[in-house]
Amino acid sequence: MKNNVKIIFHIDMNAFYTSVEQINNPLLRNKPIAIGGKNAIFNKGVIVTASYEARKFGVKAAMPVFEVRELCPHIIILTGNMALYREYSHRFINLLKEYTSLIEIASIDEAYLDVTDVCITKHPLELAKEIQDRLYLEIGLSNSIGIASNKFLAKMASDFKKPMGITVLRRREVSNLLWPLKISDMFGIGKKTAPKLIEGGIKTIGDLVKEENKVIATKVLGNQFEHFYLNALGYGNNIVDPSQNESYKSIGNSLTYNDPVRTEEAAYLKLKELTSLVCTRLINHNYVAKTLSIQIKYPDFKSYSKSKTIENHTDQYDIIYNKVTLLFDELWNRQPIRLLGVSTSNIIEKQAAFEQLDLFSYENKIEDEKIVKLMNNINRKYGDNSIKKAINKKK
Amino acid sequence: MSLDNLVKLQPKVLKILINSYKKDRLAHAYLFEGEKGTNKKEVAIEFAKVLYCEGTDKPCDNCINCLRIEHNNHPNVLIIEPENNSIKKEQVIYLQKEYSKTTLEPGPKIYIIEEIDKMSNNASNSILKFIEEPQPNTYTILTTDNLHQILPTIISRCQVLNFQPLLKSQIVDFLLENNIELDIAKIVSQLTNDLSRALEIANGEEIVNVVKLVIDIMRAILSKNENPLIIIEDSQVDIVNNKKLLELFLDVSLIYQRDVEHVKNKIEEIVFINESSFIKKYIDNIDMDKIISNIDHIIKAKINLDYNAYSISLIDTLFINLI
Amino acid sequence: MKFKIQNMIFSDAINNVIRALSTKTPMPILKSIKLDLVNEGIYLTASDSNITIKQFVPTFINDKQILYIEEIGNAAIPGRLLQDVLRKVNEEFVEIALYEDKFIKINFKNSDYTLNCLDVREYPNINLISSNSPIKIEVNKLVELIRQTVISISTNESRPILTGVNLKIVNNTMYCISTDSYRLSQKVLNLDYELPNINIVIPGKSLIEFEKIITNSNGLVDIHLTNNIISFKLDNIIFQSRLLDGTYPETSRLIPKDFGLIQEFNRLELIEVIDRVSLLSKEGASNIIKFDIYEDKTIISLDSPEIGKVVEEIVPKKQEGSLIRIGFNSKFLLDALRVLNQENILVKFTGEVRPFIIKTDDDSVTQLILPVRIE
Repeated sequence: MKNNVKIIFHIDMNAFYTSVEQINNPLLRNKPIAIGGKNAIFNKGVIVTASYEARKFGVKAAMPVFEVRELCPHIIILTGNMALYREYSHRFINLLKEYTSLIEIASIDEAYLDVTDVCITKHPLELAKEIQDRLYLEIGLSNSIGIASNKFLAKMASDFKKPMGITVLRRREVSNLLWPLKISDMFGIGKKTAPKLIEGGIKTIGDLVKEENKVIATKVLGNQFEHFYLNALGYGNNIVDPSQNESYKSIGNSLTYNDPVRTEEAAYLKLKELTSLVCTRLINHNYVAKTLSIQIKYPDFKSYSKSKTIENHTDQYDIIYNKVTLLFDELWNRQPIRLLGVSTSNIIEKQAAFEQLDLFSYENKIEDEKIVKLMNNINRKYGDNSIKKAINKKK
Repeated sequence: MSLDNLVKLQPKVLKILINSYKKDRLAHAYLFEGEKGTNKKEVAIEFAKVLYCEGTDKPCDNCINCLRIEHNNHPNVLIIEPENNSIKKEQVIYLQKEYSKTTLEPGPKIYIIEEIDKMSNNASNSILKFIEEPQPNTYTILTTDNLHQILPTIISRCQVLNFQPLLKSQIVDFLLENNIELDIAKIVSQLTNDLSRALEIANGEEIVNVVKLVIDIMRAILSKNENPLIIIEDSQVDIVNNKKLLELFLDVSLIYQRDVEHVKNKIEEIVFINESSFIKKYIDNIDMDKIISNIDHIIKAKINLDYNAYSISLIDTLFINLI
Repeated sequence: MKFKIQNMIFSDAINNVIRALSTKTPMPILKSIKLDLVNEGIYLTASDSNITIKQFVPTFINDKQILYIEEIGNAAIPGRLLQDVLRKVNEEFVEIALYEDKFIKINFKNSDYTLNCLDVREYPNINLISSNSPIKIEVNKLVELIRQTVISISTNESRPILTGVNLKIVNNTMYCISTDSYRLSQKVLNLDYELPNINIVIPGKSLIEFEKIITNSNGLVDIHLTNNIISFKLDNIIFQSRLLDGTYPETSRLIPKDFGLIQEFNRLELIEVIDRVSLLSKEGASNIIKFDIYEDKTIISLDSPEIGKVVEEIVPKKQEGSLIRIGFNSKFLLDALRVLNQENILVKFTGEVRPFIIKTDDDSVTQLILPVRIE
């Protein structure tokens, strides 16, 4: 392979939720199980996902519980345990981090890795096999890995063989391997869009690159047509961006004081400084946060922390400082303080934030209702994020 | 403590309160300010009793309402005091909830919050709104020993009453009324400004023994007849192993040394009244510089005790310096 | 005070009132249960000062004598201790007597327990009022009323008045309203008898506690109101609560009356779809879902930065009006749907950044939700 071609892995945990349940509870292993909503235990609603043992019976995601029970009478249906799934998600990401720091976490059960540098000394297939086996043996998660030169192809490749598959998808093979696939299987084409494309005669990924379909495809996909067109030809984004992960991490600052802080007034001053540092970082990244935390360390090195989730995402100094001092009051035991930390989590981009309207004040904010309506209409016609409110982004 | 006694101890404050009560012009919020031991809480409780007393001579201390307030059993009278030196978040929430509810029994709501300076600024601000926009028939009494630590916004919403520190003679009189001997009363009056604390010390088992030990040792040092360390060894009072006793011992010793200083300077006022003739007899054995240095050494020992210095070496060092 | 009582009945009564007993109270007397022995029977009272429960046990139940009175009187007995002792009783009857106004002796078989008592005169003077014109309401209707309104009370103490349910009687119509300012519940009942107008705010927590007590009973509850206190009487039990002091905000003009879009759904189906969409959302965070309303279907979605996007479709049974896209906290809608009882529900929208309401065939109840502004 040439030097300027990247090697991207897409690693996808197979049947993640049910696998985690089976790892966590040995009694569930090798048994058909499914995860359903809160009503599922009452035989109502549909299931979210099913284990491979259950899929053999024809059980599929989004199937009503009564139908699932008909197909597979001895199936065990559980309600989800997100905290547990998140814990396992952290575990497999931590394992992947042993290979490279160039990891982009795509969702709770999948990640992209840029292993170009790792593959200078190790063959990509050999590396993939090693990662796959370790994930299975050390954590218990079966997975499939797609290998390609960009994220789109890697993502499509990991879907070829499940579970425990490793698939290489080269750009020169797209006409053979990718184009025959159904358009609804193309990454990024949603449930809403696929029927419209099929209606326009675009049934496979290959149909998307045909010249005669360009007009209808542009009509359906809007300004995103170019993006999907290039994807179908085997081109795509090859930058694995670990900073994407930051959106669900936290932004915080802490300081150690050699001369311990003893009075409430002094501590408030320090909290002011820390809060303003944190707010500046939020604003510079164009983020807003919903959960605020405070950390206090005492001279005996014992550390305590406390956090609070507020009603609306914010980057406002006044709101954050106010909550931070409330948390501080609750936490501080009046001993001298060696370290103070302020941090924010539950972070999203400012554009994605929403504001809970208040019954007693919403009318004051209603003047831009028409703009909201107009924007929503445009977004519905041309796809999400076609139009956004302009927001000053600091450099 | 009875209202009559309080009138003697805090005449100014009680005159203001009684007049306002008689003219039906009580404020909705008071801030009682003054040193520890100036009976701020006691006055606040008498205030509540007067408003609720069913007797003719209010407060009668006899009717069911006076008794309930005394026992903290009156549902409309809430007393909040710091726990472990701070007013906790749960206490503040409890207080907020009480402020926002109707009363269980008919009558005014009375909230007594002691040592308001032990409340965080945020908590103070959260009760500020209840003081600012008082519900009718609601009275709040805040107390503090540290007026300068209170938010100005709180001070400006309250009528501030200054409690005068007690005179030593008032403490002695109070102890005498409670059947304490004059010599002990005089010594105890130097140890605290808080009447109930003073009575507690005076009635305690230790004080008489400690005073006796101090007299024995100080006489030994003054007359140079005996070794003070041997006196300590022989004494029933275990100041070596009991930190509280050692503290008391140092405090009382300091008073004795000051008396020695007074005698040297021919000042009549002394605390150890029965020691006057003994000190005068041996006063020429000791010069002024030595007296000052003795006082210094006792104060240093007190400071070291605060830092948890080891008692035996502390006592040894002290007496080597005193002899 | 001296009496002998059938232990099972006495223990049941103790267990009923002890719910109001406070574990953490600055008032020592409130750790006691108060007994009032009169010629007709015995009253038991427990209180944490916010709520009070009082039960009457008559001398005869179904013509069987269960209480033998030797000397009437009253006492304040440590509640938890009394309960613990009664658990040990292995005989049909237990004998209880007060000595020197200070000790209570509990005797059964060969056992003899002595508990220290506080001065009963110091027990709060709780006037369990009985007015001439109580509101009379069936238990199941009252339970429904409480469930349908307490969902919207605020849990935030910064505006204490919103932690309660506003009860108003105007011209013989009773309005019960709660709002945490992000949603609102309103129940309106027409009373077919004369009642004086009143406007009070009942602590939501008291109502939740009371609902637990009556939920498995039936019969008529008498509600007595004053400006300080509300009391509910069901058979021999009286439940009383202090009220919230202050003025409840006026909300009547905030409930919209004209709607641009009305959808009808099967209630359980909508609950399931929303349940599913919010399943993968992060616990603790507010679950903002979007309704994308088209002519033929409504797409419900949740976008979570951590997990990704969940999309579900639902086809309303009926729909009329202009199409919108609106986002809101799914918990608010689920709470509202779960306390309604009808098969079908109507969602009535007024705009993308305006409140919408949920109605059913039962016109007495209105649930209102404020959307979020989606940027």
